[in-house]
Amino acid sequence: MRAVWTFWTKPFLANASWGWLSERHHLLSWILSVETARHHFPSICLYTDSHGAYLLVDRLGLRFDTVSTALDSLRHYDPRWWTLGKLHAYRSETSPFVHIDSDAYLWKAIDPSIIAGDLFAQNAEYFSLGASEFYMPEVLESFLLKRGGWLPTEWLWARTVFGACQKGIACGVFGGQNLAFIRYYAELAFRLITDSRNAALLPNVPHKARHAILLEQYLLSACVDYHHGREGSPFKNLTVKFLFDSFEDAYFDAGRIGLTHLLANTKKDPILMRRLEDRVAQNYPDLYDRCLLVSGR
Amino acid sequence: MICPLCGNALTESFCARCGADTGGLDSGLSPFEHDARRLREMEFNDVVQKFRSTIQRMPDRYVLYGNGAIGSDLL
Repeated sequence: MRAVWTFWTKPFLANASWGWLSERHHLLSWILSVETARHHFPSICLYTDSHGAYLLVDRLGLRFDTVSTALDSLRHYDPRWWTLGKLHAYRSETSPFVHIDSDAYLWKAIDPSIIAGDLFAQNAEYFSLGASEFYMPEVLESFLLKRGGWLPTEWLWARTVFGACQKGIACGVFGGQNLAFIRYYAELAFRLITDSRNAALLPNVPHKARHAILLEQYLLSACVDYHHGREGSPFKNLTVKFLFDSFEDAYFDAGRIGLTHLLANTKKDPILMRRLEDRVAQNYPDLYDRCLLVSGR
Repeated sequence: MICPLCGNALTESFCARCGADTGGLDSGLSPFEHDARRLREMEFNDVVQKFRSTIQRMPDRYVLYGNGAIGSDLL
């Protein structure tokens, strides 16, 4: 199984996704994410665009077995849908893989029994409809459906069946063996953006960047639950495993799995950023020097 | 209509015998969907309960939740 990272620079340059304390810390995180995980996998790969390859490989000096600039093909997409870079990598993979976010550090190898599964992810995360700061499927849904837009069957099913008790799947670490399902779900996410009924409406969706995780994490959960055990579905026997049993377990038992994930605004926490810098300076001094050079410090 | 989970005759959307929320008598949900919904509610309630009990046990950990980092101790 190979490890995969993505860096779509368009959202990054447009500040459409979660920002870092500084550009230096962003690059330090890339170093730590790649260097901690590379020892656990026989092959590592980067999906990026031309600018990303120039920054991470040519200038920073990160080494990958494969570097794809396939994300150049996303140049016409709205960067506020910042998860599309990851989804494009998911749908492009042709062998079992694990995708690791560049703000996630895998200190230990993932349990082989998890990696062997159809699908695995960091953890399930539950939310009450209308009370979540991050998941607002009802907002995007209402906007689209009132205007003649389209949503996948799986999405509508999950919203109807599960009512106020909704679920997403955190994808800081995500992958699996069932490429057919992964491709199906990732294509569905793209279709949500490109479908002719939605394409004209989506530029006006409020809080678009906030809805980007719905494409990746909410839709994934809906697809898993919709197809699992469903007669006639090609994914009837799909199984999913999690590194952590719950969001709460991820916080209190991260050491057991050996994962750090700097979620959301943590990337601007001065104390954590200091520790990030110290760790990279100590463990990867050559790359640290390159980082200082690239970031102009 | 009968409850798809326990077979009890339904007179309202919540089954009086097993407590399943059937989603409304005319919701059109299949037995599989009823079951999925019930399981999701059970999971959800379990997670909420676990979260609450943990916070009560270690209130200072709430700060950790607040900063949003998983495994920050490892960094």
